[in-house]
Parts: sequence; C-alpha cells; structure tokens
Amino acid sequence: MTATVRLGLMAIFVATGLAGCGGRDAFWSSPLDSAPPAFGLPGAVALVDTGATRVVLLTPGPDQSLTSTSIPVGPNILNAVASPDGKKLFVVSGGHRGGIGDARPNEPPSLTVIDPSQTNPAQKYLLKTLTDPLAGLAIDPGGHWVVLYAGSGTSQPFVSNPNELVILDVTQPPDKATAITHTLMSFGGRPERFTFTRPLQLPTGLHPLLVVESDQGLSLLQLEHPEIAEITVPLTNAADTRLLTPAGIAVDVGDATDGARIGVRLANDSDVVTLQFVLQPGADLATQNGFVPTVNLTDVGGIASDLAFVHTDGGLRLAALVPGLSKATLIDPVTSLTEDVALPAPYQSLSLVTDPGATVDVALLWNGARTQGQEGVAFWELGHTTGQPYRSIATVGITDTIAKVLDVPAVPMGDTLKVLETSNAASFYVLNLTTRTAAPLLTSTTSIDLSMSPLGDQVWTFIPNGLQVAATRLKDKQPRSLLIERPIGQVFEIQRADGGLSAIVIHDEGGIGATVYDAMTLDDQTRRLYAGLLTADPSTGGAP
Amino acid sequence: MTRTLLIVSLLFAGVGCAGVGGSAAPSSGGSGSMNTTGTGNSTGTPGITGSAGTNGGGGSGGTPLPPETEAESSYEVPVATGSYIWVANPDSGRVAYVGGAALDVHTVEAGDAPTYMSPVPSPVGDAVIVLNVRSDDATFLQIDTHGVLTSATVSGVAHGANALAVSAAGRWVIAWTDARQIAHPDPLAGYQDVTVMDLSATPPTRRILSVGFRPVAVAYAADGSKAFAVTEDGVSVIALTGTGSPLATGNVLLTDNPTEDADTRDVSITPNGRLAVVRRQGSASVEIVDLTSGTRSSIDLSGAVTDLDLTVAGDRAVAVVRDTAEVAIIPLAGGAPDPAAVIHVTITGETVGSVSIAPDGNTALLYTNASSVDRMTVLTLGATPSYRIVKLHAPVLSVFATPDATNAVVLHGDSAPATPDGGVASADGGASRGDAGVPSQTPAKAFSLVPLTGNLPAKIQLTDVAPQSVAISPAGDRVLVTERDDVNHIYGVYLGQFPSLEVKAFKLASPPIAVGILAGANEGFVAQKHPEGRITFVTLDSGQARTLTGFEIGAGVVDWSQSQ
Repeated sequence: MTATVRLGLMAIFVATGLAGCGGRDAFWSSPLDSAPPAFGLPGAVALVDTGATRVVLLTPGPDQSLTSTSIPVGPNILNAVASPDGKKLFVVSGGHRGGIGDARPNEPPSLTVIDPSQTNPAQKYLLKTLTDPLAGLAIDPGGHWVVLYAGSGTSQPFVSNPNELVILDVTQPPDKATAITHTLMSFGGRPERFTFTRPLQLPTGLHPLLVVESDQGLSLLQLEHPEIAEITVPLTNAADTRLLTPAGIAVDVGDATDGARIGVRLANDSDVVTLQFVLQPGADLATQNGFVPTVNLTDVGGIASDLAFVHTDGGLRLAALVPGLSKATLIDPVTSLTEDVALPAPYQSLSLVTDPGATVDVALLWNGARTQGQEGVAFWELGHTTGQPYRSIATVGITDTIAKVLDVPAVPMGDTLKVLETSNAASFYVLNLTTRTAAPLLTSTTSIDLSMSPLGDQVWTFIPNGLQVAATRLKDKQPRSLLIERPIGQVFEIQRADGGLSAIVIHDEGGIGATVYDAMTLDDQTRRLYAGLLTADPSTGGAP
Repeated sequence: MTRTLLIVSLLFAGVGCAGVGGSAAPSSGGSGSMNTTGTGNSTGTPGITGSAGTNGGGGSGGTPLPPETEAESSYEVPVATGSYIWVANPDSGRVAYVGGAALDVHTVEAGDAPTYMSPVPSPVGDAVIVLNVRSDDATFLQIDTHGVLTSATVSGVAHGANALAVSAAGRWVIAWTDARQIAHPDPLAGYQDVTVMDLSATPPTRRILSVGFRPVAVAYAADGSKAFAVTEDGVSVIALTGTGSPLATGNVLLTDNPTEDADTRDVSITPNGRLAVVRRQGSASVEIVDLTSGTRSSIDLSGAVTDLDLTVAGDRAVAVVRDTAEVAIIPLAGGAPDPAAVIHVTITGETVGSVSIAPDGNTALLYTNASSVDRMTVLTLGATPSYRIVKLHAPVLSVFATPDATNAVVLHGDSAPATPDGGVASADGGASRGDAGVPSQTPAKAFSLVPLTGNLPAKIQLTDVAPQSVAISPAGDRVLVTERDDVNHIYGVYLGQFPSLEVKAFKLASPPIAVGILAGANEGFVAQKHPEGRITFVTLDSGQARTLTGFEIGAGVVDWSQSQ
C-alpha cells in the first residue's frame, strides 16, 4: 500500500492538519507491508511494521476491545523472530547511515527485545561494534543468549563474512550488556544451524555450548566465554575430497558420573558421529577451553533422518532413525555397539514423549511413507524384553503422513496430548499419549494452518487467505467455527489481563485489520472487527 | 623406555627375553599376526606359535593362528609406547597416534604404505619406526615430553622387509623379511637381506647386509654390540660396533648335520649375546652353542624336551620333559654350563609339558595343554627349587604370570587328550614320542585369575567365546583378556583385577586385533578392526570405557584456543 492510499484513508484529518503545518511526519510516507509479520506473545499480538520502523502490540481487553501500542525499534528492520518459548519478540535493525543532506542521525545496528509482560516492554541493544548489519538471528531457548550472523537476502551488506557472529547476553540490561564479536575459524564452510545447549557436564564443569553446524563440520563455542576461541571438528576426511555435511545434532548433558555427549547425523554419509569430551591437562581456563572432543564414528547402515539420546533398560543410547532401511539403530556411546530395531514403516522423525517420572524413554515416530497397510505414527518403548532391544513398537491407526507434531501445554486432566498436522491431507489428529488413541478431525481442504491455544485446551485451524476458522476443543474434540468476513492472515489466541481469552484473527488488508472474538464463547454476536491497525497515528497511541 | 611403560599382548612383550630377547616388542604389522597373542609361551617372538622350530613348538602351549579374515580395515595393528598408541594406515600413507591420557588423535605423514611398525626405546619420550612397503623406506617418529613430534626417513630399506627388531637402547633397528609371513614364498627365495639402521645418527643411516637363508628371528646382545639372525644356515652374527660396522662377521652352525630340518629347531639367544640355546623337536638334548667360539655342548635329559624357556636376564633356562615330568634348570650366566651344574626337578604325580617363566625370573609356571589337566605347578627357581601344585577348575591351555609372579592368568582348554602325531625320530636317541605341534585342546570359553601366593583359590571366569589375547599391566594388578568370534560377531574384553579378582566385561563393536596397556596413562586399550580405525580405552582404575573411531577425523579436531 503506498503513501497515497494512506492519505486516502485519512484524507479529512491529514489535509486539514498539513495545510495548517506546512509538513508531515515521515510516518505518513512510509510504505505499509501487505502482510506484516505477526507474532502471538503473552497478552498481545505483535505486528512488525517495517515501513514505520516499529512493532505494534495489539492488546485485547474486555468486550473484545483492542488496544494498539506502538513500540519504536531501530531503523531498517531486517528480521523479527519470536523466542522459542513464544514470550518475547526479537527485532533486528540494520541502523541508519545518513548520506549528504540526510538530517536523520546515524544509528548503529540494534536488537530490540519486546516482552509485553514487562512494564517497559522494549529493551533496545545498540550493536556499536558493527558497521554493517547482520540479519540472521538465533535465539537461546533458555532466553539467555542471542547470536546474530550474516543472513541472506537483498538487505545484506555488499560483503559479509558468514562466519562472523555477534553474541549477546540478553539477560543483561542494554546499558550493561556487551555484544561480543566472534569470527569462527573456517576450512571453507559456512554456518547453517545453531544449537544452544543446556549446561553440559564437561571436564571443566557445567557449561553451556553453542554448537554451530556448517556445511562441513562443527564448531563448539563456550557461551559463557565467547571471547575464547572455539573448537572445530571438521568432518572432511582428509583422505579424499568428500565433504561430510552435518544434518542435525542431539545432545546429552551428562551427569557427575558420565560426561556430556553430542551426536551428529550426516546428510551424505551413513556414519553417525558421537563426540565426548576429555580434559586438556594444564589448560588456562581463562583463555583456553580446557577440554577437547573425542570422535567416535558408527555406521548405521544408511542416512539417518533423526537422532536422539534415549534412556533404555541397557543404559544411555543414541537412537538413529534410518528410513531407507525402515529401522532404527541404537548406538552404545561407550563401545559403539549397535542394535538394529526393525520398524513397521520408514519413519523419519522422532520425538521423546516420556512421562517425567519414567526411567525408560518412549519415543513417538512419525513421517513415514504412506503405503497400504502401514501406519504413519508409532510409539516406541525403549526397554528390553529378554534380549530384545525394545519393549514394544505400537503403531497407531493413522493412515496419513504426518508432517508436524505440535506440542500441547499440559492440560488439567493430566493427559498428555499432541496435535498431528498431516501432509497434504484434509485432516489433523489429536493424539493422546496415555491412551494411545488418535482422534481424526477432517477439514474441507488440505491447505490449512494450525496453532495451539496457550492454555492447551483447543487447537485453531484456518485457511490462510481464506474465510474459514475453527476452534476444536481437545477435551471433547468438538469443532466450532467462527464467522469471518475478511481473508485470514493469522489466528492467535491471547490471554487477557483479566484472565479471559481472546481470539484475534488478523486480516492482511485495509491497513491491517482484525476480528476479535471471545475465545471461550466464540459468540458471533459479540465479535468486533477492526481496520487500519497500522494506519493509526503512532503519536496518539490508544485504541484504533 | 623402561619395561614399566609397556606390556602388549604377551606374545609380543619381551617377557622371558628368550630367543629374540633384548629387543623391544617386535614389529606388528599384517593383520592377523597379532591374533596369536594370548598363547602360552612367553618367548616373545611374533606369534607363529605351533610351528616347530620357531618357538613354542612341540606342545609348548602355542595356540594356532586364528583364520585370516578379509582385510577390510585400512589400519594395521597398532603398537603402544609409554603414552601413545600408534596405528599405521597403508592406504593414506599416514600414521595416527593417540595420546592415552587425553585421547587426542593426531596423524603424521609417513612414506608410501606404512605397514609394519615397532616401538623404539627412547630417552626423550615415545618413539616408533614404521616400514613403508611401497617406498622401501622407514619412517622414524619421535614425540618428546613436550608433545613435539619429529620425523626422519631412512631410505633404501631392503625390498620386502616385513619385520623389525629393535635393540634394547633403541639405537639399532634391523628390518628383515620373515618368510613365514609371506603367503607363497618362492622356494628359491632366501630373504637374506637385512637392513641395519642406526638411529643415533642424524640423519639415521642404514646398511644392507646378508645373513643366512630364511631368517626366523633377530636378537641383540644386551650391550648393543652385536645382533644375531637365527636362520636355516645357523646364527648369523652382525657386529654393530667396531671398524667397518655394521658388518656380518660370521655364521655359527647349530648342527653338523646338513640334512637337519631347521624347522624342527627352537633357538633362543641369551641377552648377553654369548649363547644360543637350542631345543629340537623330539630330542632329549638341549644344545648350548657358544656364539663367540662356535663350540657346541649339550645337556641330556630324561626324554624329549617339550618346552624350553629363558629368564629375562638370560641367566637361566628351564627345560621340561613331559614324559618324565622332569624339569631342568640350566645355569647360563657363566657360559655353557657343566651338565653337573644343572638342577633336575621331578614334578611327581603331575603332567607338565610347558613352561612359562615369570618376568622376575624367579618363578616358573609349569603345565600341559596336551592333555586335559586342570592343575599347574609353581616352581621357584632358587638355589633349592621347590614347587607346589595349584588347583584350577578347567584344563590349562596357556599361562601368563604377572611381572612380580604373585598372580597369573590362565586360559583354559576343553577338549580330549591329544593323539600323538607320531613324532620325529631324534638323532640323539631321545624319545620319539611325538609332541603335538599345536595344543591338542580347543580353547574353552573361560579364563582364570590365579593367585600364586597365599592360599586363595583361583577364580574362573566364563566368557561368551574363547579368549583371544591377554595383556597384563606392569604393576601386575590389572589384566585385559579379549574374546573374538567372527562367525557369530561376538567381541569383547574383560578387565580383571588383582588381588580382588574382580572382573568387568565390556562388549566391543568390532573384532579386536590387539590389546595392551598404556602404563603412562593408566589406560588399557583394545584396538579393533575398523576401516576408520577404532580403539576402546579402559581406564584401569575406574573401569570406565571409551571408544574412539575415525582417526583421520579425530586428528582433524582443532582447539583454536590452544594455538593462541
């Protein structure tokens, strides 16, 4: 939408105001994203208004009211990512470098952390050590660190170093936090994935690591001491030119008697790599890592599609799914002994769904191919029965291919549920991990999106850019549809300050609009429709 | 390097020092040869046990080599020095070395196809020498106490060398060809070229000399002045010091009989290089040959000598006559002994055909594996020898004593008594009853930890498959026993402890090819057959195990904080 359109919408007021003032705020000339990124945060929906260099928080109130709060961020928004726990929004800005005649002050790149639950919802970290912005953002699930790195796209600098990282401790306030710039040593590779570990039982104590997977190896960096040079584990066999590419890792934090381990599966080799750590005697821990990984390769017979450390009756094992052979392989990390477990389908993904008090893990397997008579989901109990390496593999009567497993927050009844999103099937499932039942819910089309309510009592299903939205209660599997009259961009369920729940359906048109429902009653009569959420004067704030 | 730094699968340790004693552990190389470890006699030669004339023949307790399997691994059998394990990769041309303490892996370039390797005693740290079979040279690798590696190449090694013998001080290395390691040797090939390398020179020097036909062992005098090659023509003497050295100075005949089959001889050379002690299969005589003068004398015993062993110091030999249970303790310190100085002991009521002398040289363990006897005899070798019988719970296949002789490890057999093979008529009129060229028993799935002092009973430990190799720590308080079954893919290692006799078992993912102790790191290790190289380390104190696989990748790990 252009500035002309904005003026068209606000013609009466703007024309009067400008005729009297002789100029207008740049806000009114800024372009409006047709589909601004939207994030559901606790208590509010955050809309990233890139053109206006701000984030707009839409806070629902009683009677489906909606309060809009404009939060300025740094100029030149490059990226916005919600934290893995969904509680905060991180906005990366590239800053501003003024040319000749540009009166706007220069501003370095910055990171703004938005937390609606705080009195001051925004904390802005200026990244003064950078001249050129880094758009890539990796966020620690524990909420402690973020890593910025060179992203991709047109907003990137002319020349960028893909191995340059900026590490920031976001538990520190902006005036105390120091962004540490760290350039990874590279044998030619570039980072592809970042994993923040929990504190690992290392020979030097409990410490978290940043594991950076490149296209040809790993780098291990101490998060508490990012100034210390990292450890590189190249996965190139010097005997030939073949690059071994990591495809994902699994981490076991270890304990006092058994140290931490990292498992690495490869995209182009049937080996699984296990790293364990030994002490480097005599190291100065102030400047050196003090530990080094030992490498252990185990051939699992085929390319592993997923990996996890699991606890079995026989002890800790590294489980690798090998869909090409319809099997899983359990690797003893001490001896490299392997045990193969035949699977009824070529499952590609594995999630641990173990009850908290159990000593033996239970895994959920899914994403198998759909062939006649073969189910798409199975439970795998990792105990032993008289020499057998598993207690049971129980398939669930789902005949669709599962694309995604959504976690459900614990519900009051104590049942553990998962919502299974299918791949190209007009359905989804509610899986009960305790009873091993799977309730199918059918949809009229295959192009659906799903989102979970924050309380875990219902799942939202909608058609992007369509008019169909339904909320399905997980307790009784009863779907209830909403009456929506504008194309749907996103659907969020937000808990209000008064304890109630609101459903906010975002419409990517009309300057961004929203339909607000009471998420408990879903009463069409009390719903309210809003328009122009991003065209309100930010200086006035208040209700749109 | 002191003896406390290394004991590797007992057929390789210089235990007993007999025969090819005086050298450090002989070369490893060629997968499969290490698999002869764990067998009875402690002559220290590469384990071609059971073939008469080499060592351990004639019922001496040698276990035949297990069948060769396909050579899939790129890595050859490793050797261990004080703190490192070294593994050659003929395919990549590199040698990997793993630190036992930190389990750090490094690789270093060697020559073309590094294959046969031997530890070299070094005053400055850890050292090995490796034969590069395609480039006909050798690479000498040394790590000092600061962990700095140096490398030197010795070019022009005689083509086809597949064995190494190293002098006690580590100055001399002789590369030679063991025809028994060659699948189909040309009958006319004598393999008489040996390459004598002097590592004390900078750069190391070498000279090719000729010895007798088909050498079977090489040994050194303890003072490093001479080397001896045991051949079918006799004992070739190589002077290592003096004008023109190294130089072949003579050949000492071991017999006047030109038709004698050299394969029936078992020759041991004393560490001082003065005497050769010869046992012949089926003969009742032990021949003593003065290597300086060539004079031969013999000690006649009461029957065919079934086994002969020398102490590490070479001051005594112990010969066993199974038919009469006679044990002869032959003094050698003063040169060829007077027969009257030989002490004869009869182990009344027992069948003993094999002997294993403890490294301390004061205790000999006597047993037989030609028949199912579940006892062994502990004989003290003092001025007044005495013995006692130790009860076991299964027949004996082979016996290994700890260095201090306070304990022993016994591998058990479980088959019926032997059928005599007809034997070989002895020229001296000795008994012609045949001694089995190989143990008549099949290995049993068990071994025992046996206290030799006090009144504690032996502890028998069942295994999943028959044990394969044994390694004992220098302190004698830990033992590693491997097991291997390629048909059923059962592989494992047992950690035994003295004096508690506790045993911990570990399964292995790949066939074990070598077991040893890194005393400097307090670690035991089991090298396994794997294309990328695999070693399982067992901490001797805690019994904790850890496996490394992938030496090339492991060597590539870089801790950049160490280099800043």
